[in-house]
Amino acid sequence: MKIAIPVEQKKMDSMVSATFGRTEYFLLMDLQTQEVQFLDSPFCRGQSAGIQTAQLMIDHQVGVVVTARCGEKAVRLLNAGNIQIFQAVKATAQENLEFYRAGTLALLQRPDHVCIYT
Amino acid sequence: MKIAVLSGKGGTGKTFVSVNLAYIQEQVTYIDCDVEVPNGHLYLPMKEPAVQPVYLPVPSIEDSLCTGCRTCIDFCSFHALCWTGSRILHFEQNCHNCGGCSIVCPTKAISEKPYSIGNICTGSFEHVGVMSGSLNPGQMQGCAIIRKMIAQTRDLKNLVLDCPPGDSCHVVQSILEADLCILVTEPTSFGASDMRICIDLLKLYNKPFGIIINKSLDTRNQIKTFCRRHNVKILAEIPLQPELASLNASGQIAAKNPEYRRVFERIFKNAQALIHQQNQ
Repeated sequence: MKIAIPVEQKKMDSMVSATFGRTEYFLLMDLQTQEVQFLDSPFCRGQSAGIQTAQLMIDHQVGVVVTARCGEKAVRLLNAGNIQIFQAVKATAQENLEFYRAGTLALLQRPDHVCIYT
Repeated sequence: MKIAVLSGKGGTGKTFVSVNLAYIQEQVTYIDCDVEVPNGHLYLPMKEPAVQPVYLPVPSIEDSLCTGCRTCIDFCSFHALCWTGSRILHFEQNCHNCGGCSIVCPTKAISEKPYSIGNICTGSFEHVGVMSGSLNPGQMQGCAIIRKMIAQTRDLKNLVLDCPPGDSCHVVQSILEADLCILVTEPTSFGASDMRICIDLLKLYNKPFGIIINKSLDTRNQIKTFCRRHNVKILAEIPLQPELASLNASGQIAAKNPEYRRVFERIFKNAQALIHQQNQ
């Protein structure tokens, strides 16, 4: 199973991005093989970023997303794709991975309301 | 005469002008095109209005026929269709109701079903016919409601179309059939700036138009300067008056008072003259 974290830079000690759909990069890690991959997200500009990014997660067979926030529509698609969404803590991607492994991250409780005029 | 009332900036007095301009006419229908926040009914309350729901066609997906080929997803420019890994998920709010997905689906797994986006209330207040569109919260396709109201009143001669603020597609949809547009503005920088944007829009659509300066102070202001410089017709100035403001704020029709009735009769006359001038 793969875990995905939106990140500001393509490195393990990058901070987690403030957004899900409009992040520039994703850190993908295969939890079995520990293999790490950084993904460019082409959807950081333009419309329907959340939906398209959630589709990107499904197409990469992601099972877990750790994110600071996530819009309503992206949450709906991630849920439909059986992807678990955890609330990231304000720290690096590496630290968030460790928190996930330790089981200390909480599930994302409330999707942010989508602001359609941004 | 079909008169559209718009403003650019919100809160300049579109509804105030619209309801009063409708009230002084005979055999007239007021249409509230501000479907996101219709408020004309506060001034023109309808007794037992007829309510008709407005539906748009959205895809209905038969999962047992879907092979997951994603042809529909690739086709949809608005990302209204997504693949969850096992089936298609549809986002109604993104859908532009083009029907394309049902055409391109190679296994005919997609048909169309109605999706409710809002409603239209029809009724009357005293001698004024009233139509008021209302878009459900979270929906985006207000134009469909405006289009339907305009189609249903196409044969009527006298309309007052109370437009939404701004110069969005809702406004464009509302002015399409108008014979004349009235731009209500106020003597502030914000009012002037948005008025200029709306003037550009009206010129683009080749609509005859005039300005009403609402809440006017009897001094020189940038609206008057602009109108003089660009040869834009000022139909009326409505002075800033606390009595008028409080009358309007309490939901009263100001034109029931003879003094204010004369103001709107003059506006109507000036509007007729403007149309007459245009036709010559």
